Amino acid sequence: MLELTNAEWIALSLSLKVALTGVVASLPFGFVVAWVLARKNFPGKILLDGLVHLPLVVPPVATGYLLLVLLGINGPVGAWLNDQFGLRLVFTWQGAAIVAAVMGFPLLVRALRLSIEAIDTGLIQAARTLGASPSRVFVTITLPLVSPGLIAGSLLAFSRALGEFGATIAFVGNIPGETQTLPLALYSALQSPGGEEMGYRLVALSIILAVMTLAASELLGRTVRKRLTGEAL
Amino acid sequence: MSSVLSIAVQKQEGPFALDVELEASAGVTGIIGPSGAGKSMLLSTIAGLADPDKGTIRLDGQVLFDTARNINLSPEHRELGMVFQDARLFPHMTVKSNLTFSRRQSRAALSTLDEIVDLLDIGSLLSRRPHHLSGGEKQRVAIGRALLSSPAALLMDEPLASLDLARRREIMPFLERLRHRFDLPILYVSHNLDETLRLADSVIVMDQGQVLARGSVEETLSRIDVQSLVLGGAKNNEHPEPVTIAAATIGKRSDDGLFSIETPWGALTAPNITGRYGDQVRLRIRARDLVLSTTEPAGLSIRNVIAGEVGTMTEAGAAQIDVLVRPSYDPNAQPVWARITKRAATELDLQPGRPIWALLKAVVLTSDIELEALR
Repeated sequence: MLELTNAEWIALSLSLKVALTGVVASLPFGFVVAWVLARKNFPGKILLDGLVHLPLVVPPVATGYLLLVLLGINGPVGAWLNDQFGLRLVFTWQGAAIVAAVMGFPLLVRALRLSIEAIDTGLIQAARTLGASPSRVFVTITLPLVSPGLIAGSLLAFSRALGEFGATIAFVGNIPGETQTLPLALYSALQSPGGEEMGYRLVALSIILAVMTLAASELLGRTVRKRLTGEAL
Repeated sequence: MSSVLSIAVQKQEGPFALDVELEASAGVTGIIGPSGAGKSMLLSTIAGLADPDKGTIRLDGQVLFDTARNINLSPEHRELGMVFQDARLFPHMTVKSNLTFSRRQSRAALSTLDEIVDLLDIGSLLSRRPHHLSGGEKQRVAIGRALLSSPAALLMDEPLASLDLARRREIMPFLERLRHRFDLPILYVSHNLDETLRLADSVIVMDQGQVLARGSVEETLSRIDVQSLVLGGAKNNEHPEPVTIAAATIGKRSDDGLFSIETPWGALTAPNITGRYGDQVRLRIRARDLVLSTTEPAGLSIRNVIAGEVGTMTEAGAAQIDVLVRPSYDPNAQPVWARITKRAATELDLQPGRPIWALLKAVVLTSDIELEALR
């Protein structure tokens, strides 16, 4: 039943590329922000926390429009990027990846923050008294212990990116092969006469993809937790 | 060559003020005091996990911390091993990876993995995860891990406090062994009198961030104010029974099975002790185990008698009184605490200076003391 047409393949592979790029690109930022929120106290912490969560609560179309204002060719950041690097984000798949990163960011940060907070600072102190520098502590203690949160957060953000619609269409439009991800392709199919069949197929594809991501998250999470503690689950 | 750790630190935290000066050379320096005395905070400042407001910390002449010279080495550069109350093993590593975690190479290795594994009897645990270890096993691994970082001094923060009685008994022999094996200054923080009695070579008593008393274990821990502080009597307005601690040497075992023990009060005898001829040990005499007599005793089954005179007398509640017996043959010899009823004191007409004979019903070596449950 599921022999994909060329157009479907393009939408699927573009979706995966956009979501993956978005998540990978947001990881370092997510880590730093989660670390700061988990371990530091400073004036304006609530503000930062609110800012991070904004994409979760603001209508996606509004977020997309804000991105367009900021990152568009005439926007303050967009103009600079264009001048310096010749990088155009509007109507490109890179722009779609930015949207994926922004929309998945709160989910990534939440999961990371929780698992950073769960690390016993006593372990870090113990490692320091054993002669480990902060960077060695990060690599040998913090990173392994955060990995369940890293995996959970990344896959959550990845799922969110796969389903992204409103902000994407507002910022980068709906261009087949460039910015038309699965949800946008589905929308287009349902808008065109006689597109129901393709619509059903894309719905099925989306569901399969979502289930696979969830299963991967569960499986990976279990394996990592077991590895971390030697604990049978 | 063994190291010397010298510390003078001050730290204010809210209403609490830590102000301690101490010097520790090879051997166990017991730091004892009630909870909240600042013992753990002191160790944290030494290890570099908390910054004092003022002071100096030196290890073998190397300055680890000095506010006047603006020196503050980070914990990884201090070459101090630390054992925490909660073992703090890395959960994602095997016991072996925990033991070999330290990569410190600035000084000659203190020991080898094989020796530590053997000393602490953890060979069968090496491939296991901390999650699968008992509390006592975890603590042994934590001690081994600290030693394998080849520290110049070892800081132990209540390593037995989170363990139950059985686990504490299990670990004590290992602690005694490592004290003999390594020529290190060991700061051993505890709020348990018996633990300190068994392990420490000298002792520092802390209360409310300050040093209340310091010196030899026998003299310091025989002080009644120290005992009531450590046992918590002062707070509850109770009167914990005083105990007298004395250094002693195990003498010969006679044909009828009695051991002779050389004490500050001459040779005493005891039937059941563990130890060998010539062992340096510590005695613990409970005040209730003394019987006082105003005449030289005769016709009694008790063999151990100290002749002396009555020293200070301290009321212990409504009905009892603690009497300090000073040996008469030497006014500088260590006195012994006895607890008797007030009625007996009145009927015997006990007054400071009166000649008295103290009869010992029981003498216990501190190495034979069952580590009691925490009070």
